[in-house]
Amino acid sequence: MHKPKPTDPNPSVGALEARLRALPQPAVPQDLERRLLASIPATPKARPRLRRIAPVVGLAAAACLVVVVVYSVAWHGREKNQVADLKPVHDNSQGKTSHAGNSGYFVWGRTVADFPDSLGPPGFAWPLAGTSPPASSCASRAISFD
Amino acid sequence: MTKLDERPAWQALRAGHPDACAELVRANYQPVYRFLVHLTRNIHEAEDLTQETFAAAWQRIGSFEGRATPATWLHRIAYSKFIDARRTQRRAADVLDQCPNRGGFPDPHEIVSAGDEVRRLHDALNVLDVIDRAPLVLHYLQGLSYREMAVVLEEPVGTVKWRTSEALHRLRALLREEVTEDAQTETNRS
Repeated sequence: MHKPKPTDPNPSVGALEARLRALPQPAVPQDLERRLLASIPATPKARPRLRRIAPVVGLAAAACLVVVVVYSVAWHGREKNQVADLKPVHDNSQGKTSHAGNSGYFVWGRTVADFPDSLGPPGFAWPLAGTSPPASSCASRAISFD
Repeated sequence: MTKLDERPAWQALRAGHPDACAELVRANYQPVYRFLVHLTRNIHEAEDLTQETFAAAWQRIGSFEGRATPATWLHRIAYSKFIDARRTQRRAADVLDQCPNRGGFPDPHEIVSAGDEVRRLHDALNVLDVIDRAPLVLHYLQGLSYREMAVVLEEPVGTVKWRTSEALHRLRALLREEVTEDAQTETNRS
């Protein structure tokens, strides 16, 4: 059987491009469209994750801010109360001075309320018994300049 | 090539409106299927991959940022699906190399009816490696621009241009070799 020779045995790049563009495309199965349409999800897709979680993150941040503000206001209020508690109040009937309300007075991790009223806050004791800080004077003796 | 030219429709798509999704399918399923047929050289596998492509599109539709056209985006998904399938097949006994044209593409009836030149060109195109075939199919058969091809192949535009040019020269060399072989066969017979 005679085989027909190709018209252009050595096509140029331009001719080859034209031939490629004119190449017949494969046939598409008829039921493919129907199957693809059937695969479309019926329910609307959820929004992207970032957009979905953004309001949640915003609300959480706002809640944190509110908590911080409330706590700081409460803290300042407590500090004011403590300062008022530490002001000495003179009791004329018993002739002694005491703190008006000492429940909030904090000493080394214990409140004054932990001690009996007669004792009051513990005094300071030198760590070495029988010793006292050496007497020192800032004044230089005159002999030093002789 | 049919393309979606609709930014507002894309907004509806992102919201997951079924009508917009149907429009996307109708506008793009044929180019996507043909692209996959050229890549796989198998109509059945191309059909499966087309369905997988659109299934993946519905899953990712909310994250699409609209930098490329929907058609380019779908081609990108299709190409990645093809690459994944080829990796799987290579792991499972290298099916592609054993059966280079196993799915009946082109159809034997098509070969007979088509001209000899078309058949030669088709054969030469199928002989090319996917690395060379993909840019040729995308540019000359699918009608994508180099910029769109760069999105699909995930390579810089310059590289895509160079790859297309190289593939064209390889295809030309293949055709020339075939013509030379045919001429030698004719001479021997005579």
